Amino acid sequence: MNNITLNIPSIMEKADLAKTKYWRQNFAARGILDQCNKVKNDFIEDFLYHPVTKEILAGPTSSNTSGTLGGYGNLFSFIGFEKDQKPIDDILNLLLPIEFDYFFSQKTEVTIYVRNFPAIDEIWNATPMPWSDGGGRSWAKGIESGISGLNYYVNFERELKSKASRSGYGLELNSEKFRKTLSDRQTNQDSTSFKLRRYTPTSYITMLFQGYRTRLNKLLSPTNKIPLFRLAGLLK
Amino acid sequence: MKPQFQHKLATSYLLWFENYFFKKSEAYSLQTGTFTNFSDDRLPPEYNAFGVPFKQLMYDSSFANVYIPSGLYVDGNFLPFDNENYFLDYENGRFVGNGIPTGSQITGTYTAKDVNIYYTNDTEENIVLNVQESIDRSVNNVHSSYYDPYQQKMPAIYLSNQISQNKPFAFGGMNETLTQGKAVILTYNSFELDTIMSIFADTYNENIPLVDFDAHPINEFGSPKTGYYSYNDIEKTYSKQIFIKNVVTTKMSDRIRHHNLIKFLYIGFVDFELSIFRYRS
Repeated sequence: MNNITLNIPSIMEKADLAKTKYWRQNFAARGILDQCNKVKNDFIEDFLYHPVTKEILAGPTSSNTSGTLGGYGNLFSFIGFEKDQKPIDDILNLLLPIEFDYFFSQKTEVTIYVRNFPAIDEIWNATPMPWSDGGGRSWAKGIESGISGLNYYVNFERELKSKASRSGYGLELNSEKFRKTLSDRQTNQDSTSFKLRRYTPTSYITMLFQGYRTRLNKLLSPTNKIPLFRLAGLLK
Repeated sequence: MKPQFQHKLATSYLLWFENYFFKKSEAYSLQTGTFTNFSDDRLPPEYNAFGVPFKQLMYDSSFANVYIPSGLYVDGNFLPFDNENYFLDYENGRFVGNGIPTGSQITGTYTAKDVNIYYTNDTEENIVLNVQESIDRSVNNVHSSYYDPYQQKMPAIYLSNQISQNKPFAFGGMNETLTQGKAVILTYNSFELDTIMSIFADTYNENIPLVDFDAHPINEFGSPKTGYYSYNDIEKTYSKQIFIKNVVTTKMSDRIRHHNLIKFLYIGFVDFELSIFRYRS
């Protein structure tokens, strides 16, 4: 019968080393997760403090602080949202669920990944024009590429009809009368809420997305791709 | 002034759109009937106009089942078109003849478009407002046997191309030119609207031949310049392609439409993202 000689100090050393390595890997991964979460929070903060977001959040009584309408009216009314509508929530609902996590894919490798990172198309799909039947054109994309005055026209018409019904008599809204009322409104220097102005496109979601995607990619490994980041050998 | 890339793009987009739409929808009908005389002070005094109760007529010979007339019967005698003195104004649905007496009995067969297509530089809101005006005018000026010339008629599709930008693509100065092509659709019923939207939603990844500006087939009288036009020839002649990178279709909801002045019209929009790789000219 052969005796087995155990080199206890050596085993203990290796066990400690393994424990330490595991602990170090965990620690490093958690550190990266914290940084990822910071990027996410910065992303949401930048989105919420973007001049366009702030103007829309301010609702139908705000002024055109983003300058996209030449200082007249405001984006909330120009796009044509209902007064109780919260269009920014539709985007926030896609950004808030972003999560980061990690797992040990091999003894010396940790994979960090992101859950629920929306594709840019998901943002466009979640932000349909208020006059549409729920799909198609996105107001968020329109902020970047241009928004026609159609929303303004629809809203103006609704405003006239609503005034007519509130006053208790039917307004005979024919084309000639509508055009005259529209023209009067546009030439009235005191009126800012519905003054028809050309919309000037500005950078918005796409720029934020690209910026934060780059930050996340830099933070992780050179080869990573959203939604899966691979930290090959980084924690050896 | 020399035509530029945008002119070529607009011509290419319009010709492709028309051909693609009528090829897929077959939204046209064969008609036989009388042409009714009316006055048009924009025509030279020696020319007389005779209209039909349809607006735009088909002139693209690339469709096997579309009849393109080569002439009409004037007082029972066949009069062939010569593209100068006797021709069809396909844009305004009428025959124009030099020296044809106003009392002549003119009959013939032609193919009428069920949906009219216009190219415009106007904004969406102006298109909608102008449509109201045009409908008001046409209501006050109803003719049972012809339509007044130069006025637009529903159902209609208004095409335009808007914002264009260049992005670097390859060394040596090659750019990707991205252009927004738009179509505003106004129809009398949701079936027509859905047909048009469905056809163009499927144009994602299609190619459009980039044609020369002077390839537009229609002259100032609304008649083919050479007397004959086929989009098949265009496709064979021009090899450079514009790529449809993305298409988005949007319908105005009934909730909004019912508040609208033109609530009897169904309104939709098609937004194309057109891409082409090119060097600056």
